[in-house]
Amino acid sequence: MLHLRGLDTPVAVEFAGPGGPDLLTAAHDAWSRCLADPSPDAVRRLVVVGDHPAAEPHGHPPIPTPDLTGADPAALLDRLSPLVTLAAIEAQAGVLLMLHAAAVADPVTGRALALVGPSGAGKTTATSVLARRWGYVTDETVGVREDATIAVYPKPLSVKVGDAPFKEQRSLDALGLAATPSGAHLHRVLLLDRDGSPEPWVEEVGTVEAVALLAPETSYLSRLERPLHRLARALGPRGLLRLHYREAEQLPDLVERLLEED
Amino acid sequence: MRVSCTAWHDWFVEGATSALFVDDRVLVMSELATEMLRLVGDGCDVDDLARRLGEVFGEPDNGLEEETRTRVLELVSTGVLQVEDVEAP
Repeated sequence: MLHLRGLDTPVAVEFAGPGGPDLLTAAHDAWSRCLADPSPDAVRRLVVVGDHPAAEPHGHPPIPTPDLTGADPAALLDRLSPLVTLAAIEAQAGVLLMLHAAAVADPVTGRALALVGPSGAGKTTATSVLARRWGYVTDETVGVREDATIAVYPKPLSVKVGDAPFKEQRSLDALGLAATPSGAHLHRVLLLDRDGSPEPWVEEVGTVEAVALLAPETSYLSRLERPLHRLARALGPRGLLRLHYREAEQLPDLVERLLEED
Repeated sequence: MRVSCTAWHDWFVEGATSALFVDDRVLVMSELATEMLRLVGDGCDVDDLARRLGEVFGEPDNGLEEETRTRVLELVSTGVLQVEDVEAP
């Protein structure tokens, strides 16, 4: 059994079938930053069956109804990732403000920068560059508590490789990404706009427009009390910046400035 | 014609403009629309709304009541407002 914790939510994953032990090892490695002690409060017990046998060997305990089955371990791990995410965000509906965002945080101050954008906006690519220097918080969903502290979700990086029909779940440790700081709190929110700008630049967005732009990039926003006000509070007096850029490698200098600003 | 607000998730006002969360969308409300929502409150008669909008913005070229009805129906079409007792044409 793999016991995970992300977005303040414990999730258990059981691996069964002939491929189960190898899958558990691979998942343990990929999800190393989310490993947790077993919790009786786990919101979901996901069941993944590798190489689902046509018939269980005589005398073996029955395999529970699986959430996922398949023969390709990499494909199974790719399909597992959104299931874990979904279990966590469903559990936190009405509690956390959840942004579709990547985030990194300063290891000393805990200040975190959230990079908001829909799938394909460049969140993972930016994170893979920035988290070599700043602490990795997530590449998927930033959960913001009422007091602006962050419920971290240091899941594996989901990386599209070549023409593969699934994304590889890459271990943060193997990639050498920096550890997630404790006490991470939201300092700045950036809306990614990879528009090919030769140099990265930011523009301030007024709060009214900001909440309208960010709302589609949230999960279960309507379940929060006074959701737009919650969103505006999370932005704080610094507000939203729209980040225009071309390549993730351009971003570290800008991120350094933003994380050091008062 | 009486106009009132539909069930909103939230309304965030900053200065003269606002963002409104209704159904599954967040709409940016112009200065005029924001003032209309303020004035409608728990519900009001469209003629009263027109008079009060005239006090704030002045009279438009095509007449205050005509313009107000047009704007109200625009907000009705986006699910922000609802009307009752629509008069026969």
